[in-house]
Parts: sequence; C-alpha cells; structure tokens
Amino acid sequence: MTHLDDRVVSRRSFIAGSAALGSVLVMPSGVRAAFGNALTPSGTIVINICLRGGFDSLAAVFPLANPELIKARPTIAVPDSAALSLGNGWGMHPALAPLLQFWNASELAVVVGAGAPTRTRSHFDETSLMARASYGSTTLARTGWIARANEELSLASALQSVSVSSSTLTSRNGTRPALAVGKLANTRFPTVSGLTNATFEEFLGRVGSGSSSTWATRATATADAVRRLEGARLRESLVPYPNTEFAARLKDAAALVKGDLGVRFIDLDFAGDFDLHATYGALDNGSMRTLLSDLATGLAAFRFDVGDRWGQVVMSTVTEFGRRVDENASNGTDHGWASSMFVLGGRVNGGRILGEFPGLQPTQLVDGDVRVTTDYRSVLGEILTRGAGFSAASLERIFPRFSPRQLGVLR
Amino acid sequence: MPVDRALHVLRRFTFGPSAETVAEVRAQGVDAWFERQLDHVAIPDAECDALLASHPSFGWGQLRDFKEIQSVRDSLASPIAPPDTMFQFAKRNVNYARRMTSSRQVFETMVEFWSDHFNINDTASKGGGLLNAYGLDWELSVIRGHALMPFGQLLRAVVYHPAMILWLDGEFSRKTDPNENFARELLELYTVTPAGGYAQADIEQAARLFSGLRGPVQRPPLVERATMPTMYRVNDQTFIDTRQQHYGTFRVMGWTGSASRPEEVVAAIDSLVAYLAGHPSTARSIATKLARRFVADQPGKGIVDDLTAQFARSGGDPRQVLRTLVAHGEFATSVGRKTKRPAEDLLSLTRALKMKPETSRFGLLGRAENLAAVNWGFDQLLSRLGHQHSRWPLPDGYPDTEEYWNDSASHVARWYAHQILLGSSVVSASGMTMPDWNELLPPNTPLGLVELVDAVSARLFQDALPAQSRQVVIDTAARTRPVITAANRDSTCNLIAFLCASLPEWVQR
Repeated sequence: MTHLDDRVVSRRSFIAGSAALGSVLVMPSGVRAAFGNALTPSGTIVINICLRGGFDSLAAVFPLANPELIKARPTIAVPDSAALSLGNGWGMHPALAPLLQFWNASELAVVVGAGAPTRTRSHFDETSLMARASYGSTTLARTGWIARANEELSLASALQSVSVSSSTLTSRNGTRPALAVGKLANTRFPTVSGLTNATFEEFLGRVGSGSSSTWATRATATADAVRRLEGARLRESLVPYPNTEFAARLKDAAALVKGDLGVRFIDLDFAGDFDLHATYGALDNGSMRTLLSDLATGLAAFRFDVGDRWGQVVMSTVTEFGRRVDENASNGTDHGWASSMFVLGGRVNGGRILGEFPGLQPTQLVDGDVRVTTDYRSVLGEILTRGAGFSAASLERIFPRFSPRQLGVLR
Repeated sequence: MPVDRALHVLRRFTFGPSAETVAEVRAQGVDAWFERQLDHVAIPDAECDALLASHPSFGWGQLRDFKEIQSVRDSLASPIAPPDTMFQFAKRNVNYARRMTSSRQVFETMVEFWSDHFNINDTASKGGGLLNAYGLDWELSVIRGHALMPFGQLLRAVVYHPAMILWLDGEFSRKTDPNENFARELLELYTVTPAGGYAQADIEQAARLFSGLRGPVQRPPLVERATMPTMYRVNDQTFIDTRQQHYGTFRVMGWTGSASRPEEVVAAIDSLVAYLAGHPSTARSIATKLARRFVADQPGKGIVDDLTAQFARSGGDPRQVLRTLVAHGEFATSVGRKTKRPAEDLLSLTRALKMKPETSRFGLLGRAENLAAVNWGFDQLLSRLGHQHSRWPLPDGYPDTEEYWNDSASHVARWYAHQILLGSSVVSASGMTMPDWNELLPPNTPLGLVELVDAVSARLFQDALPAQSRQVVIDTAARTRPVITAANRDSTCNLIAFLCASLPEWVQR
C-alpha cells in the first residue's frame, strides 16, 4: 500500500495517538517505507496461542538423565538417546525438531514451571479463569484479559485485535476480541445477489453519516476492516505450509501480520487437543508426536512466511494446566498443574530455559503434579509491557491485583 | 423513530412484532393484552404445541426419573452424536421454536430472563454428560415452571435441582471440605449481590449447609442414590448424602439456622432461601436486572427504586413488578434505548416475515441418516453469533448491554446470518422456510422499487422508516436491481429486507 489515502491517514493518526505507549521496538530498516515512521513500538504484534486440553511440557521439553521422569513414565518418557539436546541438561521431543532453528538463533525461550495460581485440574474452570486472568474473587473481572488489553489501547480499528480460532465467540469466556475471524476466508462482506461489496459499504457509510447511533458507527468501521482484510486475503502466501488446521490458522495470522493492517493482538487456538489421557503413541508416530509435529512445523512455516516482520512478532503459548508426572494405566497422563510456555520471536531472549524448574522428586511435587513456580501472567505481562509498550498502570488493569516478575523473556 | 405504546411494548415483551401481533394488541388494548399475557396458561398455543409435538424430543422434557433418562439415552445411541449432545440440541431447538411461534410471548421473554439469571452451560462436561440430561428438566420444571411465579419459589426450585447441584460443583462438596461454588454464586449473582454486604465467612457457612445436597445419580460407577441407604430423600431427584452433610448452626448474613438431622437441613435450606429471596438487596438486584432487560442498559434510579419497592411489597411477584414497569413513565420514554441481542435479532426477523422451522430439518433430530438435521441451521447461525441458548460459559448469563454485542465480529456474523435467512445460495442452511412474499406483500403491490421498499419495511418494522434511511435503502436497491420483473420480485424483496436488517433501526428493541 503506497498510496496516501484516508486509510493511511487514519492509521497515522492512530500511531500518533499511541506514541505515548513508549518506544521499545526497533524495526529492521527499510520495512514498508510508506509507513516508515509508523512502525514504532506499537508495531509489535502479540500472538497468543492456546494449547487447549492441558499441554504436557514433560513430553516436550524435559530434564535429561532424570531418574524420576523415567521411573514415573516407563512407557511414554522420551529416552535420552532420542531427545534433541538443548544444552544444560535439557532435552526436547524429536517431533519438535523444526523449533531447533529458533532455539539456535536465540529466538525461542522456554519458561518452565509456568502455570496458573489455581490448581483445580478442571479444563472448564482453568480455561475460564485463564481467559479472564483474574484470581481470588469472582467479582474481580468478568471480562477477558484480551478484552481489557483492547480497552487500554482504545482501539482505533477493529483490526487491531483479531482472534483466529475455531471456537465460537462465547468460548472466549467473555473475551470479545474486536474482530473474531474464525477463518480469514469467512470474514467477508455478505453475498446477497447483485449487491457489491462497494455498494454495501457505501450503504453503511451513508446510514452511519446520518446517524448518531453507536451501532451504525461500528457497522461502518467493520466494513472498513473487512475491506482491508479482503486485501490481505488476496495477497495469497506462496510459502508452503503443512496441511494442518493449525497451519491454516497461522497462515491467516501471517497474512494479518504482513498486511499492514495495524494488527496489535492475534489470539489463536492450536487446532488439536492435548488432553491425552491415553495412548500417547510412539516417538515416531501416534497422538503426541502428531500434536508436537503440527505445532513445530506450523510455527516454522509461519516464521518463514512473515520474513523480516519476525522482529515485530512476539508469540507465546499458554495452556490451562500441565499433566501429572506419573503416566496412567492407559499410556497417557491425567490433569496436573505446571506446564511450560514457549516464547518465540525476533526479539525474544531465547536459546535458554527461563524460570525455575521445581523438580520431579516426590517431595517437590504437589499431589503428583509439577509445582507452578512462575505465574503465566508474568510472562504475558513482560510481553505486554516491554514488548508492546503497555504502561505498568495499564498492566494493573489488565491483570488486576497481580505483581508480575521480570523473567527477561525479551531482549 | 417515534413509536406508539403498542409497538413499544411488543418490541420489549415479545421476540419481535408481526402484523398479526400488532393487530391483536391494538384490538385488545395494550394493558388488556399485557394482563392476558401474564396469565400465560390461559392463552391457547396451538401452533407452538403442534410444532413441538412434531419434534422427536417431544416428551423428553418430563424426564425426572433417572431410569427414564437412561432409557431415552439408550434409544438415542447414534453413530453421529452421543446422546447427551442430543439432549442439548433438543433443549436449544425446542426453545427457539417456542420463542418463534408461541402466543405466550411475555412468558417466553421471562423464560429467557431467568435462563440468563440462573445460567447453566449445558455443554460443560460435568457429571459425565448427566448435566445435559438434567438440563431438559431444569428448563421445564425450574425455569418454565416458575418464570412468572414469586421469586422465592423459583429460587427454592433452583437450589434443589440436580442440574444446579452438578453445575456448581455440589457433587464434589464434602463435609470436611465444602465446595463454595454454589454458595458463592447464590449470594453474588442470584440474590443479594456484593451490594448485600456479605463476607467470605457467609459463603463458607452457606456452603456447609449445602454440603450434602446431591442429584439422583452417583458416578462413577453409576449408582442410583434412591437405592443407597446413606441417602436421605428430599424429593424424586434430590437427596442429602448423610455422610457428607455438615450439621450444626449456620449463620449467613442476618440469618441463623441449625440442623442435626437431614430433615432439619431441608428446613434450614428452605429458611435460608426465604431469607435471601426476601432480602432488600435481592429486591434491588432483580429489579435492576429487569429494568436493564426491559427498559434501558443503564436504567434510571427512579424506575429501579419503584420496581424494587414493588418487588418487596409483592413478595417477589414478577407479574406485579412487570405491571409497574410497563406503566412507568421511564418505560414509556425508553423507546430506542435497547439493542437486540443476536437471538432477538434473528427471531424477530423470522417472526416479522412469518418464516417457520423447516420441518424436514427441524424434526429429524438424532436420526443418523441426516447429520444436517442434527445441527439445525438456525442453531448454527446463533453459534456463529455467540448466542446459543444455554451456552454462555459462566454462571452470570449472557450480557444484556449493547456495549458487549456491538463489536465488529458480531456485525460480520449478523450480515452472514441475515444473508442465510433471507435466501442465500445455501438453500436451507438456515433450517427455516423462506419468506413467502405472495403472502407478505399487500395484494396487487406494483412492481416498483419504492412500493416494494415501503411494503417490505412495513412488514419488518410495523412502522414507517425515517425518510433518510428509507431513501438510502431505495437508492441502494435501485443500484443493485435496476429492473424489477415478476421473476426477480422475490429476490428483490429479500435484498430490501437484507438492507433493512442492516439499518440501526432494525437492532432497536
């Protein structure tokens, strides 16, 4: 987009308005000259990936030569001989091999012992709490944290916060992103016979211009966002993605990143269920291998696709809980507590394990679960403040009554 | 848009006015019509009854005994969806059908109100699918059975119902470790709200009192509690687990009760329910919610005060409170101050244009040969809009303010839903019949654009459009459909209806 039309002006005025967020991000030079001065810290794009079902971090990134782990998981533990070494006594599941490039480039950090302050082992409760990111009192926050972050931004465009996921809107638990696009291909103008997109947008514009209604105003803004999304959709990516639903969502996310649309937040669900109570399968086939492989190959394709925008992107994974250390009688694991978070991006202080690993000896566990040593909100908080330029005061409203720790996940 | 009182009352207290309901209210007079609606049982409801009788789930709702639930579940063993999913489909789809077609519209609006107030998310996988089965009886016997009954009676039904016990973790409550979930929501959401000034200790005391309440089945393994000697029978479907019941003296806010035997626990619960239902903070919280539902997102203090006083005076009788509300000056001046939520939007479209559930789609629930019938199109549209019946994930119910629903994702989803309902390329994706313009247009309506815009908008709004909006619809339709013929008349009417449904006037309730 090199022409100076009203969209550019409105984008610029938004950027000017958000300059107060503070300058942190230094962009690679030469990116999108038309927006040269627009790619300020607000250019950071935060991508939140939910690993639904309870992510078994001990199957993904784990301490090597750990007798407790081998003993607890006689059939499903990854043998040291098969693990990819991350150094310092840590190993990674071989299916995650595509993530090694990030690790070696210091663009992937793994926060161990990460999780929520509550330990209910309930998908429903923890997912709901995590969407709201508010603990201790049910009255503290009934909205989702992404919705509260949106409020702090006073979104100038619906496109600044986008949810790319299969879930219905209610499953966001009150987290109403400004625009939920399920699939990019579904977020489009209506197809009513003979009614062109331009005519419909003009119709909404005329209705809105003569009206003080907040509904009509939002309709006009929505049409603007959808038209710009159509443009992003038309620039079909040439990068090969694996043929998985998660990859399809990441491809949509990459189109948003590359589209100069002013996107700030992307919220997406991993397309697979980590809730493996049974049959992990073997190292080279089966359920766990497929899930981890889908995760890693998708992320690798995404990184290639976004090219030099990688420096703008901070991706992090969250999950409602980790798994029990002991495997169960069905070659699976049951609900536990702590898991790990992956943080990826050009600015990530990676190639290292962050947080404290609480240990797997019986006395170090809580009812057989790995103890949480880092509240996941500390990781998200650092990404929001140091990465996306939110003020400390904003963060207090996004995560009420929570004091984040600094882990150094970003450079 | 200036709106007369008849239309105003119809917009707020039905799921959308139609030419027929407007004529009915005008003939009877607004107050007489409303009074008649409050005695809903006396209103014949043949069309709705016939539609429900055609649904395969007809009769399921009366399943109170677990053996009956189990036999229906067994008969539903289906290769495409587990029986508990069928229970969810049945509950939702029958609910939509009632709201579309029932003549007891004020009653239906109150069913929706209490469904939100005591929201249970049927899809939560609690009790290994039992919640879905209990959900049918929950809606019929608790919500529908008490929607216009005094609040204390409704609350008592809520407290003892197995769906609520399961939903808010009563099944996990222990004498030594009482689960606080239900007790907390009882105070925070259902009755006095934090304005009532309770403390954590009050929640803990109430949780102890409720610690033994159980539904009819213990699982796993599946055991009928009626056969267990340790269970005290409260009614057909509710028991007190005498091993897990906390006994003693309980203090909740200004209330004190004590129990040393199961029957005394029931008496104490009844007494606490009566105390909370009669608490002034409860009166205010319910009055505020009713005003938010039927008057304005931010109702004025005057009407809330008056409704609160009426609630207290009438012993929590919703009919008395609604009478006061409809007669109130602030209600009269509140035209245009409510926005349709997604279900109200789609339902009002079907009612205005006399679209009916397509029986071949609506009526095939659970039959393996037709997956599309299991996922009724209308329910799928509401899924896209995030407003399926009984699917809000939290106990607090769907939000009831425009602010929540007026986001871009909702606009895109409403365009899509209107497009599907008004005749898209995807025939029957809506699971509804198409508008029959031969019936909907006045006889001999000329094939002129202006005439069609006026006729279609009259059907939708039951009122004249403001000049500016009317002109924009005419201009846009003219550009899209320069020549109108007998052959394209119906699709032109659908186009006009689509444009009208994209106007801000359409979402005003």
